[in-house]
Amino acid sequence: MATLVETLINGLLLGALYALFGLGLSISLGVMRMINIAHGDLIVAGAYIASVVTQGAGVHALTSLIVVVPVMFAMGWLLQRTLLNHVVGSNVFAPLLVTFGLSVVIQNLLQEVFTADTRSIRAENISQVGFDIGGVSIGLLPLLSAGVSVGLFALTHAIVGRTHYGRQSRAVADDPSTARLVGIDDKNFFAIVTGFALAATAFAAVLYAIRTPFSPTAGPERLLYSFEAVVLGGLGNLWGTFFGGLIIGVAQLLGARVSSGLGPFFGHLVFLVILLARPQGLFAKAAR
Amino acid sequence: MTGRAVAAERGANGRALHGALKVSRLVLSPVILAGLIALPWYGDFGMQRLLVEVFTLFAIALAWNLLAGYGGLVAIGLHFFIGVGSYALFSISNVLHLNPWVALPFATVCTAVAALISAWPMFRLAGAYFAVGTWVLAEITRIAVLNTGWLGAGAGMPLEMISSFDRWSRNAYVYWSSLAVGAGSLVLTVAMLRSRLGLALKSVRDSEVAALASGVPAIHAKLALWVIAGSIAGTAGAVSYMSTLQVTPDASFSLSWTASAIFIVVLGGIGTVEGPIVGTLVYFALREAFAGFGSWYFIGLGSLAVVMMIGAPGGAWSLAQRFYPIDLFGIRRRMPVAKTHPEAIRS
Amino acid sequence: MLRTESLCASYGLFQALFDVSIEVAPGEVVALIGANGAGKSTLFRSIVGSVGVAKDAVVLGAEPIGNASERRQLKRGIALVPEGRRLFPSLTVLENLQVAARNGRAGIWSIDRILAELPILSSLSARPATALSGGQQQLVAIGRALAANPDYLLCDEVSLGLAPVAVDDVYALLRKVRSAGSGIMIVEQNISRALSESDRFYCLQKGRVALTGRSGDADRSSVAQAYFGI
Repeated sequence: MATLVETLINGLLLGALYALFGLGLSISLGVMRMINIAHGDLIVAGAYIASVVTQGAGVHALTSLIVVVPVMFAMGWLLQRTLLNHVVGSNVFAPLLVTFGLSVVIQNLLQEVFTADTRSIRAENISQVGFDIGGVSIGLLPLLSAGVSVGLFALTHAIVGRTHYGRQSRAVADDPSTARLVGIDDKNFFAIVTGFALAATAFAAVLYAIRTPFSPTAGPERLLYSFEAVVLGGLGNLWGTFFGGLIIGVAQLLGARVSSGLGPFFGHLVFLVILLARPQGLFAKAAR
Repeated sequence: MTGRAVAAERGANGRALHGALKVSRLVLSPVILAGLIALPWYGDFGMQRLLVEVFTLFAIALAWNLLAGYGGLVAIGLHFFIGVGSYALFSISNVLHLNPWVALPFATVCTAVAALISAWPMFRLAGAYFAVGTWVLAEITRIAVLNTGWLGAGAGMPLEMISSFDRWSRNAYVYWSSLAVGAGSLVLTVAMLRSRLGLALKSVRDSEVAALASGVPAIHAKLALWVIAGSIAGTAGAVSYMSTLQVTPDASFSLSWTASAIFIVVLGGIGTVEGPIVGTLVYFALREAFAGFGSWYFIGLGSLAVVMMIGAPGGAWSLAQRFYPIDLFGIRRRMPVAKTHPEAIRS
Repeated sequence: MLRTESLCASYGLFQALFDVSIEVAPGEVVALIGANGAGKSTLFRSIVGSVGVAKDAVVLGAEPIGNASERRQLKRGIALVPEGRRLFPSLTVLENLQVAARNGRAGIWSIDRILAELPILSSLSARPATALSGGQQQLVAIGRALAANPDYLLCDEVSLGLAPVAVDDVYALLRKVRSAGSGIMIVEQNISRALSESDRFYCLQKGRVALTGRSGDADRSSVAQAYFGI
């Protein structure tokens, strides 16, 4: 059985992938104050797109990103512009129920097109390679996923801090009505933000597809992990989401040590317990 | 609270129930009711099973609608209660060798207790976070049950005590239970909304800040709502599984319960009592019509829900209301619109 | 000339403004006075697009521009400094200006020029905007509106809660804006200040214009009457 240290490290690496799942959710929540229930299904859709590209063009899974990222950006942009812009800022229900309906549509569309069978993307040169670091066995794929995750979080952080779009995001997140007052054009801007969120999610989708066999109904579980990462980290806190993801990853793998089917259960349990103790999340919005 | 106030409140609630029964009589008119009660004698088992589905799903939709439409609590994890209620029924009946119908009220109590306990973590979340949080709750419970040997783990449990009934009786009693659950939930919902709790909820729904400032105990109202809605859903779920005779974690804790409830309420009209009635009829009509289309049926349903939320958030009932404004249950309170004529100011 | 013509505005069932007709010309300062709830903020918000009104209720030059979005009105050269300043807490002073500049029009009020006119601010430009004093924040808020290079600047309650020295700074800035050619409307609680800093004034009472005239000629008792509705 793997050592405790190995489980912890692999938990952190898995957690980094969960953090990446949560990144897109964190961005939409922060800027548009909306939870996209279809977020998990969009991850799975991305996985299917990557699968199609990989098989169709005969390229490596990571190369498929060249197609998957722009496609998902476009999907996000379109989704926001055609559907979600109509329900942003209104009551609690509308965005939840619209994205809930969307979730059902996506799952069933995927089922129609791809059947209910599970599939995965083969990338043996990553998924079967591992290193032995100080007696601990670590796979290349988890390391790569963690690296990509950290990189994307850092990129997002830089964009939020230094670019015009980042400033606008922070302004809208602070005070949507005053943001309108200084001329921020909601509709187009939100579309770009959602596009970016989905583009980041594309990376998560491809890495996930290589790592785990997926099927059309795998979406909801991804959403729950993303959600837990975001809430644990503290709403409005980007790096909080990253650490939230790490916590879920570690909790799941530690749980799986106890009993192999109970990984996700422990993740949910840790989430609920932390929620009871600190409802605002571990790192509430960075006070300014 | 003074003695007079308490008596007044009891009086108000009593009148509310009385009023609700009076009004519900319009809809559950004696003829329809009699016809439904007599069904086991002229309908076949297939029809009874279908109606059990209709009535229990209607009750669940009512519960979801109560939470969302009147309490502002969107609970994507409502199926938590269905699983808890059905497992409570089966385990109590099996372990204590109780007649399932005797065990049913205990299952309701279990669900209510589950609601009380779950409120502690869940009410720490608000809005969309509450919505997904309840989903986490349902998921964690599902997994827990799935891994619990004495609950049958993945294969679930049968309802042992029901085999002592002959087939006709069993079908009839389950059918009548579902009718009672459906009708009872309706009466309970209407009574509640016409009571002080209902007024409190409506004021919180309109403006929580104002309600709190006026002394409306928002948290108590929401908790009461959560317990009532949860109990309705749990009881309906329990009766539903009486019909299928076997309860499994994946089925009873399945999101599709909540999804169906959501579709019914969205299609019919959130925040009205007539909405779920219309929605249930539409839902089952669509289901029977398009059953053969597999995934396309759900794609259509999902798209319809999306379109309705964007275009007609009040659902089919609000669309109909534009042509025929009726308030079937006497719940809506209309504020008279004051025509203000401020005097011209002399400069 | 920016005008409203018989403007009516409501919040749901509650009507806040009744047939309000006001105007402001480029280069002039117009004061809007009135008790709390008289409708002053609502009037500004109607002009600038935050509250929906009839299309011909707001006229710019000869063009009816009512009911447009805030962004449209900014592009037409109308900017609002909102009540309570409402700076973005997650942005620095400079970033508050940058966000507005990027979404406004080009013109003489570049960020450099704004900071030059307000030397106190240039040393604070990297601070989070809400970490400044009330008076400094008000200057930033005006600067933020200026960054959009408006022809008409609407200032809602610019001196509320500020020390007299800070108020002086604010009005000094407004004078510079006026001499650069913009028309300014100010909502000001301090009636004497309002009248001394403006060319003309309107007094609102319960959503109607109760009194108007040249500020220099204003007679205190008739202003008080119009203000209080006695």
